Amino acid sequence: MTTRQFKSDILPIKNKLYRFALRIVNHAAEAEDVVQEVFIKLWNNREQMEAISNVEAWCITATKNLSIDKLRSKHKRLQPIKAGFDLHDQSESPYQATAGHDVFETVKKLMDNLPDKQRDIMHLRDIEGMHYQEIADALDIPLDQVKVYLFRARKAVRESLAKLQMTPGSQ
Amino acid sequence: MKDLIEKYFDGETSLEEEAQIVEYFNGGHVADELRQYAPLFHHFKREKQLAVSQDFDQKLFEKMEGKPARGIVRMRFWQSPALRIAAIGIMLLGAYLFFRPAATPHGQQAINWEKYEIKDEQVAYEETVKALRLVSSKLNKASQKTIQEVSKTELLGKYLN
Repeated sequence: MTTRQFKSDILPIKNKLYRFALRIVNHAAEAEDVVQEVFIKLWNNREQMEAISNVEAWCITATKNLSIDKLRSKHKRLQPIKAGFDLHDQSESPYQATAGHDVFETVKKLMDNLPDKQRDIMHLRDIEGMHYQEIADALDIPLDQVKVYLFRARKAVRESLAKLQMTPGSQ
Repeated sequence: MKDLIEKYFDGETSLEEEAQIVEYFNGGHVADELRQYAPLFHHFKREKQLAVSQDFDQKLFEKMEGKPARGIVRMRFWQSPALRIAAIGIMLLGAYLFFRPAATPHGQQAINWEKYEIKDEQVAYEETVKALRLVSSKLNKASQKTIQEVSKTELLGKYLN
């Protein structure tokens, strides 16, 4: 792999990897560090990379692993998956707060509170617009499982949104 | 759109259809019955706009080329005025020590060796012979000592065997 190939084929996915890392480490500078480490690792092993058919999937896998390592090494955690995320604390309905920052944070929390696999799959599909097979390759899980996890994730988010809508005082 | 939303939550939409949904919610009018889903699709669009900082590429390529990352202070030697002055001082001191006349102990005159030079050939010959005899006797002494040590070693070897 030459520098030119790296710039044309690999560098354009930097933002996709950054968003994926950010979803896990929840910290902008650390997410950038993760992406940088992934690219350096890729560059240092570029000779072996010729044998890998899907470099983007490799990068996503490496991003996920490094992000998790980073979290563990710094003893950081995302806000724990709560049973305890109290949807009824919201004073506005999602629609009422659409223009504000709160809604963005609320939906982000809804997604963060999903089980890891559901969260990762929903992110890669709904934000990054990846095909099911690409997601399956990147996360190393069967295609059918991708669809099942995505269905569950969307269902959970839908139910949470409905609860927010029905919250007393939200109308 | 309502059907498409149902299809979405059933996990049966294509990527193109999902893009349509996002555009619908981020466009103009949204039907009342669908408004509860708007934040979700706003979030998707907004999230997709997140990007690395502008100097990301520069920092990355510096690392890839083995250059130090920005932010690490790495001052070149000649960029420090204090170090420049110190270096010049050291060089001047070195030059002085190297080129200065041979020092004599304080309060003593330098020895004038020409005063002791032998002018008479016969005397010079005798002094040379004396010097060679002295060297010869020292060498003989050393040879005898060596022979003695070798003999002792041989004797010790016999006992050990």
